[in-house]
Amino acid sequence: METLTDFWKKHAINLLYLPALLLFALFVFYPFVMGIGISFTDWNGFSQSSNNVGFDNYRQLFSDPNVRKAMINTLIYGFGCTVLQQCIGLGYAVLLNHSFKLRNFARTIIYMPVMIAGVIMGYMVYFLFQYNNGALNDILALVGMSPVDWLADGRRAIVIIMLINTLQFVGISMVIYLAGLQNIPKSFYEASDIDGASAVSQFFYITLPLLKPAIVTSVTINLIGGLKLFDQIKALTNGGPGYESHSMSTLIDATYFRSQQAGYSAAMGIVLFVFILIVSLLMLRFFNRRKFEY
Amino acid sequence: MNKALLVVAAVVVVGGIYFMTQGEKKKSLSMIIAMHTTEPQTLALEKLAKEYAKEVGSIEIEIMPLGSDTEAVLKTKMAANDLSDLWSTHGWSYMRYREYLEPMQTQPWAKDVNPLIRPAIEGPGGDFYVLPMDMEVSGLAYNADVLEKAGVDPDAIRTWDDLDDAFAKLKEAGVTPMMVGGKDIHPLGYFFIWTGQSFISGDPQAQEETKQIVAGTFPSEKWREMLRLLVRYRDKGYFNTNAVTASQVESIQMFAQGSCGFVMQASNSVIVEAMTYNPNAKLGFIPIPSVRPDTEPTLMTGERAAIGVWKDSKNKAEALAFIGFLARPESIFAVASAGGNPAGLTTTTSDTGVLKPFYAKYADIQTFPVFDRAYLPSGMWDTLGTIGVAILAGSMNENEALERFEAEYNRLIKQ
Repeated sequence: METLTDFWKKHAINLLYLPALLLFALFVFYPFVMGIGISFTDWNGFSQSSNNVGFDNYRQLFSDPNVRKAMINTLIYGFGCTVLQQCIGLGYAVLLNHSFKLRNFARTIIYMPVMIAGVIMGYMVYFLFQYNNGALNDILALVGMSPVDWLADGRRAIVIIMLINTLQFVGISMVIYLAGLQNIPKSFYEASDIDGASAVSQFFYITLPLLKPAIVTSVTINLIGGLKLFDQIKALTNGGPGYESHSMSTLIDATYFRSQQAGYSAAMGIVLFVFILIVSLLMLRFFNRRKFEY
Repeated sequence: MNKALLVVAAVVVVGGIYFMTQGEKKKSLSMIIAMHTTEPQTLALEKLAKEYAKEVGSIEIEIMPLGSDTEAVLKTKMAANDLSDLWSTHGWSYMRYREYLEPMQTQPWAKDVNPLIRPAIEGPGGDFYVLPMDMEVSGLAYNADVLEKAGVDPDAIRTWDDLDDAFAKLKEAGVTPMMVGGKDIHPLGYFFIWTGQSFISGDPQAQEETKQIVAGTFPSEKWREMLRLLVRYRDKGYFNTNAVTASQVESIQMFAQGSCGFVMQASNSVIVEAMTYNPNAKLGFIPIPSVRPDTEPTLMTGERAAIGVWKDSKNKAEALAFIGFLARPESIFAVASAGGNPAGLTTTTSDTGVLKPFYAKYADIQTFPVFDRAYLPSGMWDTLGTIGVAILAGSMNENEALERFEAEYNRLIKQ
């Protein structure tokens, strides 16, 4: 028969995660459930009353050109940033996995932007790209070229935002890949050296396959971050010009607070959540198809 | 023995601290204002709050200048029905906030409210919900030095066509005719409230459209004319190259430094702010141009530092007493003068600084309440700004913009 002491020993561990669970329930789960409820209303975001509108908000989503544009932009931010971050992050990791002078300094410099708040990074870059007195236009002026309004074109603004986000968070990928690289046994490379494998072959046939767990982690983190991108857009373009560079996150914010459509905004939030969930699950399934063991 | 002494000493110290803090406990009032931290009016209000706290002794007043975040914070607080004791209503005391505000028409100072601000704050039954410490009486701000160099006489600008001619001269002189800080979206809203006043509410021949818009019908044809004017100015290159990416601050700095003739902002607040960047700038304003030569230019009036009290505040009596202090002539003078605005109560005047000759010059000009506050539904300002930017960026054409304006108007009018 199980004594009280045995029971305590067995279940005491549960107490350790209880505070985190409570906080999660209070600040994530409860607002999420409330959000689902709000998405079926025409609430303006501040009034004490609202009407139930059924699925109207969800139906409207599919015919709203701004949502369509924001969704396409979100995909560009999400997948574009992820691809760039993996390529650059892996490159940095391979380079910084070798011993050389100032290696730790280089790692610190690459990781440092991660510690800056996204909105601050956005404003710093805004001052580089701004038309009057912007650093880039000052350089163009030095070589006798006309200034460019870099963020005035929606497509160019999207590319700039994507690059900035990539440069800011590439340090995360680098750290994950570095950890992955350091877990690969050296004996594999030594054996392949004896077999006469080139560095390129070693990379594609040893490094890359064995980095799969690191790739899964890095891609998941970057993809979710990219799909939820908000701060840099807010600081650099505020979603503009017009609605051109909005992501779903910034459009949700603008729809809730500026357009006073809390119900519609909540519906967008729920759709974004479901979308990110599906993408993440598909991605995990894709990466889990083949397992490497060593 | 020593232990007993220690216990007694500890009880005395703890008890002493408790009673001392109890004795010093003051009631705390919170006040959100739609101004920036360093704005002269913020500093004036903070000074008055300290003076009042000193005078009363049992009150502390925390002023929270939330600047551009004010609207979002107040909306969140309204949703939670947990507002600050007092707040400035940034033009929306009646249409958006009255459900949450204490009526003010029975206050002792109510009879002294300046008649010019009454249409902007009063409901049809004469009820109002704020103390208007000052009022915005504004038109289009210009840099006099820039206009003079380009050979433009501001007093000769009476219609939008006259403004077109003035813009052409400024462009020819190599300066930006009108500076727009479109990154912050809302400056473009001014274009539509200026033209809305010209083409609809302030045009004697458009009274039918004015009645329609009051009744909740979107005036499509008039709006199309307003859009065409914006497109015309855009196509003629009258706005800065970076009109859609410049920040509001940048636009005001360029205006102060003489890089443009006009700036798309409410004239009095932009002039006061521009003077902080360049105290030697010669700045002024003209009334809002009229739609035809046979109609008169007009001015726009609205709330600026207008303070209301939360009707469900636990400190309502104290908050109303503070409002009484703010309604004193010397308080009104301090806040209105800090903003360079006319006083909101008739018990005093204000020092409007560099704007004084302009208020005197335009004393007889007809005024109208700010167009979006009086004639458009709450929440429309964002649409005006965002679509305005989209037009300047060329990402939306006239028909798409008109369709969008109408859809947003019809949606918001139902709320």
